[in-house]
Amino acid sequence: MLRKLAIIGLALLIAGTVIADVRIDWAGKLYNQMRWTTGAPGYGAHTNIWASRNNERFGNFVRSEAEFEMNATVTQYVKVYLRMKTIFDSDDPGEPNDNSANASAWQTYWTHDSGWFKLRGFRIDYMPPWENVDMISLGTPMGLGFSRWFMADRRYIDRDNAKGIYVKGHFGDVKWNVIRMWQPNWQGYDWNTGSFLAEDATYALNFNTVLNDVFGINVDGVMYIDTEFDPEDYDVNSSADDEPDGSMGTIPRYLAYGGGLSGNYDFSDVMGIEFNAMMTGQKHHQEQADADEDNIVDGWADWWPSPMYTSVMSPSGYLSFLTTDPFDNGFSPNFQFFYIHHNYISYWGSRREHDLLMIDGGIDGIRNTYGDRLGLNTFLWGGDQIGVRHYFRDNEFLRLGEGLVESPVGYWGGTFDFDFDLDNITLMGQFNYLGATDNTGGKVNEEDPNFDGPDSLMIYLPARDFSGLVGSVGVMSQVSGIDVGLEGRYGMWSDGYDKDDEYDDMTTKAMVIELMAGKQLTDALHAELKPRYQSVVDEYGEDADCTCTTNDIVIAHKWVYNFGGFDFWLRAEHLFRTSKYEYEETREEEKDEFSSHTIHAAWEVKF
Amino acid sequence: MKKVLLIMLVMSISLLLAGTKIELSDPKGDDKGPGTYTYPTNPIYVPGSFDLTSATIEDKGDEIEFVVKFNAPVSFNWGDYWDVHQIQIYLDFDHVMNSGWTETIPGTQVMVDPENAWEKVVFIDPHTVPKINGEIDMKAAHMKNDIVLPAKNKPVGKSIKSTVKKVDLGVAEDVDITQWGYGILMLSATGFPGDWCVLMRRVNEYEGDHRYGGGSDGSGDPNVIDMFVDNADGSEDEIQIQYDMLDDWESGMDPEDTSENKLTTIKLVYPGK
Repeated sequence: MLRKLAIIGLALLIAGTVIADVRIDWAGKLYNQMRWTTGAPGYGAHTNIWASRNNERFGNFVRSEAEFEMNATVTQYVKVYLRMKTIFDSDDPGEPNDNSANASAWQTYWTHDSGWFKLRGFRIDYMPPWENVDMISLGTPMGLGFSRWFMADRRYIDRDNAKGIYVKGHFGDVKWNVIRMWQPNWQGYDWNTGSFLAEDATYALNFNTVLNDVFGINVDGVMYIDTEFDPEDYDVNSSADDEPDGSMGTIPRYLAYGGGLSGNYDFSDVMGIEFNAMMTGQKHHQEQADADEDNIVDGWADWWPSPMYTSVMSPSGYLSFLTTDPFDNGFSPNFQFFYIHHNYISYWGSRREHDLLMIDGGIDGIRNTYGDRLGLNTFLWGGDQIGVRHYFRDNEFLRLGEGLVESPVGYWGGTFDFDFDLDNITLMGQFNYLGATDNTGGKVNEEDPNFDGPDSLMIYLPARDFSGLVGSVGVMSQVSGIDVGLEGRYGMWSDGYDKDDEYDDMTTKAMVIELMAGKQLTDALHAELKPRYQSVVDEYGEDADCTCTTNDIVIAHKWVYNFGGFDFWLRAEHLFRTSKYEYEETREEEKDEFSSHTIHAAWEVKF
Repeated sequence: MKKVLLIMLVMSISLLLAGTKIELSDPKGDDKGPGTYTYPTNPIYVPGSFDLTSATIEDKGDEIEFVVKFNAPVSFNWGDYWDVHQIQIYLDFDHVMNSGWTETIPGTQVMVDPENAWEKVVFIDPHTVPKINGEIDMKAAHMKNDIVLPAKNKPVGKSIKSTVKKVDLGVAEDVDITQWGYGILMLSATGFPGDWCVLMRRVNEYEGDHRYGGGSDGSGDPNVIDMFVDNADGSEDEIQIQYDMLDDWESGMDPEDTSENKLTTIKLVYPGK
């Protein structure tokens, strides 16, 4: 026994001596959020707006997060980062008509293991003493220097477990970034990367420089490769008509790629442009994915995160004109034109972390704070625009205050945005015109049965005859120490869908009028009140055969408290709704009234 | 009668001074602190973001408006009000030796020359007011009364405009702002500051995802990325003046151990002198 203790003591002494020269910084945080609502089942998923009740959390819940981070400086050349985290819920189990709160179901998401801490990220940064290489990073990559349309930070770092080798350096004033990523085995064209994973990888390369302080240029290239064993190789499949050579052959099952030229040019300190021109595409293995050779992937489903074509390449991009008070009178106008092709493809683009377009939403449908869609197909307002296809959006496991994000894939549009800052008031506004990049269901031949699109009104590539307009004007000021504001938003859009079927025509008009008053009540407490009226009118059929009108009065208020390192937020929303269906042919009316009350609170301590 | 005349005189002076506008310039490309600093690697730190280009200070009657411009647009990805900029404006009302503070807000890691000792500092940060107040209470309680938060912040394009009430600065409406000294410092804000930093991002020896490089892993190096210096006329020689001013520091390796630290000393800008 004594001998064992002596050995343990000696080991600790040696370890302590080694570690003594390594500086280790620990940090952590505890975050907890609670939502209580009287909302009916099915209203307001706080996590995933698309998921059904059976596989996502709805209604009331408590969610806790705990996290530890370690940053170690091993030497001046080597740093190590580790993150351990757990998230666990106690919530409504989500079954229809089941009101029993599943308070004992402490689950770590995705694995359903009980509240275990898991290694959520690690990285070794090596700063070599070499002339042109600045850093080699091994592990979970963050802070990548690529275009965010191609290779962005990963909020889903917890679930992706993405790892890579990231090298950055410079040649004179030209900086470069190179990466090899191992993609998670769900991150493929059919939500998987096949059975052979060892050679699956994404390679990306970036060069960037700034010329004369006014002209910034970025060149990006990315290649996503999914490789499988070759079934025609004898060493893989002994029934194949092939000679054995002792080596298992492989074939590229799927390739996705992108290239881009982006940058900015400043005409002066107060005026400049930003540009981004991209070409993206994909190529499946013809025999494996498209047996009938019609260039449409066999069995393709519209919820896949990839275009439907076996081989396709398409352009996307935007051009922005930006100003900062160019007339020296407080007026700052900005313009943007964007075109994001319906076949745009990117697996590593931003899923949440970055807002990539000037437009403040305007794509899918106005929702209230908790995801409750007001009309059936109205505009969303206030969402960030990201760099991946619709089903790659990251709208799950949101923290209090985080908004929904949208994908602009398949849309083109123009945005005029302005800010007019006068002495006592600020006027703000934005006007957008939107169109779909494709109105034919992806087909060019009118004889093709798919020319008018699939039957259902799916997100990806329905036949469309779409156009929309959405605008907002707001005014902000300060009266007796109280921040006050008024904003009006209006949008309308129409979609013909199948042009042979007038009954699926749809027109939507939406309007929001919102007041705001906010005040710092004490050093530690801020309160904000936001009442609003919103109305959405959906008309179906060429002659408005059915009209659905939804009118809401919403009283929202928010409280922020911080004292002594304790952060607390509370947001509440009281919704009073009337909705009415009117049928032109039968002259029938259906009316419905609905109200809900929601309180959502969160608190956090960092240490 | 004398009293009426006096009031009229004060009002006239007040009206004349309202509208006073000071313009400062800073050369481009000097967003390197003491000349060695490099940006964090995360692309949210867009080149030029912390590169001060100009500033205007305007007397608006009962308020003073500060417009600070830099060389890249403000971004709005994850901050409460914007992402990464933190601006501190140190104000020396009297230009009297040792009249006021020579230390700066904890975490800035510079000292102010005793001849330029300041009375108030305007703290411009993207976090909520309760959050900022909580940090000040914990880390800068001793100077809390002299840290002033703007009544209004407005980020637009490549600028942030902040409006400060004169009453919050404790000065009269008829004050002549051209006689003040100004220390306008550009730092970076973070929601995960060190124990001794009021929401400012640190500079390390090597840059990281969210850390500047080119300084020290200890706490003796300034966390200032750019500042207005000398006459603030934007001339090229101000680049070297800034580098020299921010370079006179020594630091140990342990950020918690300040015994080996020697902070550098900065001077303010006096546009009226």
